[in-house]
Amino acid sequence: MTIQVEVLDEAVPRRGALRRFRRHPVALAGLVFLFLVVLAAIFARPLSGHDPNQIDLLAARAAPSGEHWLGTDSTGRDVFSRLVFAGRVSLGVGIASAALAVVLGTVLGGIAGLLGGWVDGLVMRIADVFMSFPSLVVIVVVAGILGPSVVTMVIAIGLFQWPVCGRIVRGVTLSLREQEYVLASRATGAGPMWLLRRHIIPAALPPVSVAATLAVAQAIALEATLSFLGLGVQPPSASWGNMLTDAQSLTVIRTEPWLWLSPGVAVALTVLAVNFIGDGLRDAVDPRQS
Amino acid sequence: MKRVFLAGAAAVALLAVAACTGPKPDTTSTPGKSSLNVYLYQEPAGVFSPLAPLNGADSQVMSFVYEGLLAVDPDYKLQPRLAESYDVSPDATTFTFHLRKGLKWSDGQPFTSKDVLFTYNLLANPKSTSATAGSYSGVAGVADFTSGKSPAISGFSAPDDNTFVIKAAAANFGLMAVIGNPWILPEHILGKDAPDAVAKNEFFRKPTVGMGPYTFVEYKTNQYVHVTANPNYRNPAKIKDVYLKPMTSDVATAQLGNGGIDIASFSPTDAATVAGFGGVTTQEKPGAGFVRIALNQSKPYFQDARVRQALLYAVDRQQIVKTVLMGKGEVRLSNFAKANEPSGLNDYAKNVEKAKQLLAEAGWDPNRTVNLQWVHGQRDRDATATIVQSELAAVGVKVNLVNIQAAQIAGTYKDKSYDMTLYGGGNYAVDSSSINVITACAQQYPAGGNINFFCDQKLDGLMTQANQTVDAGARKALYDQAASEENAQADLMWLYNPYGLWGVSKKVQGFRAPGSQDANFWDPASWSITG
Amino acid sequence: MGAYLVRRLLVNVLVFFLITVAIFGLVHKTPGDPIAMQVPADQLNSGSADFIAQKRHELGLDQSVVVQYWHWLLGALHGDLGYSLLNGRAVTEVLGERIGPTIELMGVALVISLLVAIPLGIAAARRRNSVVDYSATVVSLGSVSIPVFFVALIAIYFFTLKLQWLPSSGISDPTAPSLLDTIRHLVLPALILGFGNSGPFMRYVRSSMITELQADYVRTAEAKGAPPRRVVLRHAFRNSLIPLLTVVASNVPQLLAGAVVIEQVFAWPGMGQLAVSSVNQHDYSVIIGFALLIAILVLLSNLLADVLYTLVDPRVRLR
Repeated sequence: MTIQVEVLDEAVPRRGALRRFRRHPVALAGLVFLFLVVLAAIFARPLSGHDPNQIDLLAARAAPSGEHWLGTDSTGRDVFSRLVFAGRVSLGVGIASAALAVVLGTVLGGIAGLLGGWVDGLVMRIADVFMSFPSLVVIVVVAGILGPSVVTMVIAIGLFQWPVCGRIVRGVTLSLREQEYVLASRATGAGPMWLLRRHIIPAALPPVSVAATLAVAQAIALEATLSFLGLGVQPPSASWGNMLTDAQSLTVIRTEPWLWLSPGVAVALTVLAVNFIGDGLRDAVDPRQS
Repeated sequence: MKRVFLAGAAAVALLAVAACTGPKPDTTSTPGKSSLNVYLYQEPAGVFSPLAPLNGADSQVMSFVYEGLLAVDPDYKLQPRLAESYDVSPDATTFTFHLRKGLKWSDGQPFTSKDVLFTYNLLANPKSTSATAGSYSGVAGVADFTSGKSPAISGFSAPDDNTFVIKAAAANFGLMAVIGNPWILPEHILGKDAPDAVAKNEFFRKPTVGMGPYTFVEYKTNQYVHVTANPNYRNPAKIKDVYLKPMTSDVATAQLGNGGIDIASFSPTDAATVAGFGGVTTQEKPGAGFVRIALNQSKPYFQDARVRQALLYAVDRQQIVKTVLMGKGEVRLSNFAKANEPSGLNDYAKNVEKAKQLLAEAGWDPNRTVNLQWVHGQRDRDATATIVQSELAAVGVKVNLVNIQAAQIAGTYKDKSYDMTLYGGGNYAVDSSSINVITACAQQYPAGGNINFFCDQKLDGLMTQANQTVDAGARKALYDQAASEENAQADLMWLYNPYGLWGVSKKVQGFRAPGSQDANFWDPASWSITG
Repeated sequence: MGAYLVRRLLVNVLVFFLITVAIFGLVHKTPGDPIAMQVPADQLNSGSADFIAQKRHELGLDQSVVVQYWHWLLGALHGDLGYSLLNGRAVTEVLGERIGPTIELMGVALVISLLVAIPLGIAAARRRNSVVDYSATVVSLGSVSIPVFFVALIAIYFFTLKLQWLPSSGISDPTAPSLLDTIRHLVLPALILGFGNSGPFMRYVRSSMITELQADYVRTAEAKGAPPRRVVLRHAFRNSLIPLLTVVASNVPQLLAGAVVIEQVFAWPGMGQLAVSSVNQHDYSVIIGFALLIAILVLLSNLLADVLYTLVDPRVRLR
């Protein structure tokens, strides 16, 4: 989905933003949940008590119990421990691709805005093209040709998400370019990099942070989907998506719900939480929208 | 009011779309008493050609509409089909087929040895894009023909209308298991085409002329392949129409339960479900090939037989069969099929101490990490790869799992770069000579399927000698020796042989399950249906 | 307006051309041999190399990538996309038989997503910051957050396995096809795909209705005593309709992405399922054909959105 983020002309009153964010109960709940997920991913090993890849043929397909909180899979690996280790992969992919998108977007958007003219036109045309293609389908094709890998996936997701940030940064740059203090500093010989660092990035930060948050959510969901299709994270590494791949047989869906319910709930709640945070952030930095 | 309008529009759209693109109720396919519904494990590609590379679902369709001189029955024995009998000369070089007399193609044309000659010449000719052309390299004159020295293959001849003769280039008793059963094609339909154009003939999309018990009617993509009893078949089929229907295994299992499908293979996971169906009996049959791990013996660290034995001792293959295949399979002890294997082979039952001891003796470097590559996607193999990794770790062999693309595998064989590769398949059950292609020194990749670059002169000698022996008893004794040698050398990490599992409606009689979901059907003419 | 559209069209053709070059380059760079893959290791013999070489020659794979591309482009311009590496069938034929089911699924899903989005969006706009508005936001965020394949598994668990109401696989019952049966097969995949796509639409309807409801003419109508329901539907919603269609048109590619996943879970014999299986079997000619089709679809839906946009917003025409 594409979410339009309005660009603010004036600097955002930060304290007011924080207060508004705190008044957003769902966003707060999302923040708390995400915090817990991150903690679980960081402390995966002590928390799980099992090696995520340790097989135990005699305990295969066991239902949840005190020993295995979320049961075991078809080779007796502990589902809970795979779930928390998969959290690392999923969050990692989400954050890395969003970071790539933000960096690309900031650089390209900044260049387009600063240079203007045909460069601006070209960058924005490219942005349009990238925006119009469904990233999932493109990655399916690319992964099909190059072979699935985490790196391919991160790059592909990043490539298809930069236009959102790019447009925001361009908008901010365009509006700043004409402002008097910027014109003044340019007149005194300030370079474009200085301008980018000193003025554009600070002004673009609030709307970009909203876009980045939403990009993380989208990237996590994409990773899960691609891995589910077998085109993302490859086994034996666990990711929330590929843990669900095994559940494509009716017998497994019926008799071993712990295999697919827990990773499914994990990815759904995490993406929801990040989206709620993004929503809260938007309301916080741009109160006119709510 | 707008809402009502929208809902109505949606309903109309839904009906219209469904009506336009959905399959219409088909009166001709209504399953009646004289029709049978058979599950296909995948969508046929739609090219029903013996020239094309083997494709399970297409082959299963072809096993209804074509017939060969010989065919392999579910017990992996060669049975005469279009040939009534065949003789092997005492030196195992000349094979004479006596064709049944008075046979007719499904269009009424007479069937003669000319059709057989036509077919064999086509299959042995690489120009026809025959995927199996290489199998005919053991026939006299094929080498000269393919190199252009000779205009025809001297090893094939049809001395009269009812006799067809194959001459082998060297004594080769097992040749019949390799080239005795290709499906015969009608010369009167395809003979007009040049060899390099035949494969493109539209006939192969709608092969309505065949020697099989059924004739092809139509292939409705996404729905079914319809075949109907061939009135000219020598003993006409008892069931008039058969519909072969591709669908997912889940759906097939459900349909088996409610009577929508009469014959279907099922996965081990669903064994308990199928066993619970009242109107269905189950059959299981060992497959013709097996799942194994090749160890690249061009690498010095896999050259010591003790290392290879240690790896076998380290893995609890019995438990893999029990857990991963739910008991529906057997542990493999050699390349030889269970039925052809001598007793007394080492079963390499799990023994961690023994494995560690052998590795120590062979000087295995505990810091070495080896890669195990496999193509992800088949549940049993995925699980097995993980299990092998963890059980080898327990004896001090570090394994790194590598998920490889199918298209890249051949490259790792070519440059001998892989360490271990998990794969499966093959057909070693019909004649033991067929294992030669994966063990012989001369068959090392790319000349043959010996991708582990194993070489044992003693084994090769025994195999060659056995294959030159026409006497059944003496041949068996030689193969037994070869099996013991191979079992001791541990050329491959033999893992398991999954069973083909089939559910059959109690209304159907005469069906004998093949060894896997993708294997050809045996003698559909003898099947019958009641009620 | 004409000049604007022509320019967009030319840009699209250029983009389309670049896409084909990019895909061809990628395919050419990829390691591995899809033809060698067709001969399993245990069936190799001295003739396999001949077979592979013959096959490669026949498919033109032994030529340079530029020559291959040129041939392919010439063919593509004549509606010939080459042949499947796997079974030698024409790519256009393989794709052709998959388009129908995908369009059926996407079409019905689109209708469903609008049926969910429009009433919810209007209700949320009319009662801003109410419980309705709030739950609409949650529903819309949920619809974009919860992966469709997970929703699909849950639905299969309840409706197929527990209640046994609906089938979970395929386009029709291969043993007894009928219209009713086709609809039964369509229900789960279309509902899930439709729901998953309703979020963006709903957000759009809500925000544009908020703007419209504040417009002077709505206030005038209200002041004249027109019933609120009538004001909403007759005036405000009607004005939001064409921009909504623009949003719908530009969302078609996203709908397709959802369809790829849904087809996989429900074994729906459409293009998405074909794409995933071709990818797994390295059938590059089919993958390229699929990519081409997607590119056409995306560019066409963009063009459609552009046309609709110029209709709505006269300022665009001046650009």
